[in-house]
Amino acid sequence: MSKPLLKIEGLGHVYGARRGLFGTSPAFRALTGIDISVARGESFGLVGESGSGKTTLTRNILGLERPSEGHVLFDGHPVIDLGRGGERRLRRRMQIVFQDPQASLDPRMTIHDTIAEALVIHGPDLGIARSGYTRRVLDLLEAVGLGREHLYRHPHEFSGGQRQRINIARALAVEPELLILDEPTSALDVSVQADILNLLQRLQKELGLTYFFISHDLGVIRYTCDRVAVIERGRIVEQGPVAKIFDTPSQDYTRKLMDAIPDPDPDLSPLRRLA
Amino acid sequence: MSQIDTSLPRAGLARSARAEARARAIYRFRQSLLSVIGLAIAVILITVALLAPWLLPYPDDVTGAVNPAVAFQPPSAAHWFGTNSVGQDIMTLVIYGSRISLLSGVTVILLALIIGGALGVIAGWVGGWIDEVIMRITDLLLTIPSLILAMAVAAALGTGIWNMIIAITITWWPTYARLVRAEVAAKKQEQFVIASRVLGVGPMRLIGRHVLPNIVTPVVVKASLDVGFAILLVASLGFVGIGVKPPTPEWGTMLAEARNYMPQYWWTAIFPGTAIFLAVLAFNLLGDGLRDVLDPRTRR
Repeated sequence: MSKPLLKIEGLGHVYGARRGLFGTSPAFRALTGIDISVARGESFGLVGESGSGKTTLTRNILGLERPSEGHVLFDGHPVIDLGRGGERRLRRRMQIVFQDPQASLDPRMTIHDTIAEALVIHGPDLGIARSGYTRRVLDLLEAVGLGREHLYRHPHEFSGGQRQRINIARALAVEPELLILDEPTSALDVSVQADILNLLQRLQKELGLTYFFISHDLGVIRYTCDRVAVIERGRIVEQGPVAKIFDTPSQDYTRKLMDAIPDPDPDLSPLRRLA
Repeated sequence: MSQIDTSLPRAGLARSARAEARARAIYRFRQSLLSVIGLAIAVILITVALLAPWLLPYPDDVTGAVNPAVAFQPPSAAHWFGTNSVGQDIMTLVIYGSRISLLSGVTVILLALIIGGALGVIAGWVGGWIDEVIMRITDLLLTIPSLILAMAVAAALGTGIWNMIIAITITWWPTYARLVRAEVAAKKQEQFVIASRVLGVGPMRLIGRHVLPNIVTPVVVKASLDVGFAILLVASLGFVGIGVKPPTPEWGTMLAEARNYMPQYWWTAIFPGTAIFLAVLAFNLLGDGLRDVLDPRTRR
């Protein structure tokens, strides 16, 4: 295998104990000994329940938090302590789409300004002049299935699925190599989920993106990912190719998660009453 | 699909969406009769204050001219609001007094907003021990009653409009520091701010472009409500004799003087009193109306 794009080694994160006036809140260990390596061009899935440490892991990968142990390497370099220029370069190569499409868009900004902000920061590196911003924003919107008529609208004028498309367009504006998808479909209707997943697959093919796909929905992971890791209470309990994990899960926890997938055949559903 | 013109992407749509939002806001404001009344009174008061030099029936009275021959005239065609103990026209004094009251009310709030806002942003954004230090100073200042502090300042620096404004501002900015700090700290954690941060946006731009525009609403509402209270406080200071120095006419000072001549010469108290009442009422109604427009969640 070639050099991994994202490599996480022995990552641990402890939220510090806080000493307050009325006693001390105990330290909380969110992550323990995480080892993950994501190859360029693949889709890597991370599955776990809420509270299992997915968000903390994301923040560590993005360099928003300092790991307590171990480190996160992006293309061989750590993601923290980069200095201004180094951080900007990293931001260009790694982007994220958050779970809640509404909360991740500034309600006071038009879609044009939201996406163009990426260009204001990285325009020189991308070789895009100020006069080319609108053109580029429009191209991005069209790439995610939106159009010219959406340019100057505000987030509240869109549906959930459209908002998530905007978030994807913003993340793609800097031409990243790695896209972290933090439950990108879990806030959406089932029918819209499929549209977004198909869009993501198409974009990956066209742009050669690497995906780090976080979800609690095994169905979504199975549909999109090549390899998967299962995280439980801050530890990776199982890791491997999707087919293997799904067909022969070695852990009870994984089996439990898989049992939670709703059966697509309504006639077999226990909720179905005999008509 | 026909080819759409690519040269002018900003045409039409943007303006119509924004115009529609504005129309909706105006509609919401007009729904509430009281807010419209508040706005109307506030506009009239501000207009009167701005045009005062041209509206005064007896301009000399403002600078302390006395005319004992016409002392204590009841309201008449010559003196609509009557005259006071030294024969000055009360309407002249009330009109000119609006300048003092509105000027000091608005100045106090603007200064408090700038000082408290800046410190609030720093405390809320940076956090940590800087936050602690700023907010403990804030708490400390909030314990000092403004009236008492104003008395102390007047005693130390002498009475006068600017000393009074400084004294009130010192006790008022902490309320803005608190409000802004809480709002900034909350917005800092919002997903869209983090998303921009991940995009590589620096702190200055994050604050200026994403945080501040999203906290304007509660701050503007508080400020417009507070102007009314600041006017009341200025009048209170005048009433207890530590505000604006005579002969500069000020509503509170006039009221204090009129106290001695009640109830026979009622007009000496009624008109400055009504002016205070209207000004405070106007800014309160205006603030409530603005809240309804800007923050639909609190609507009944």
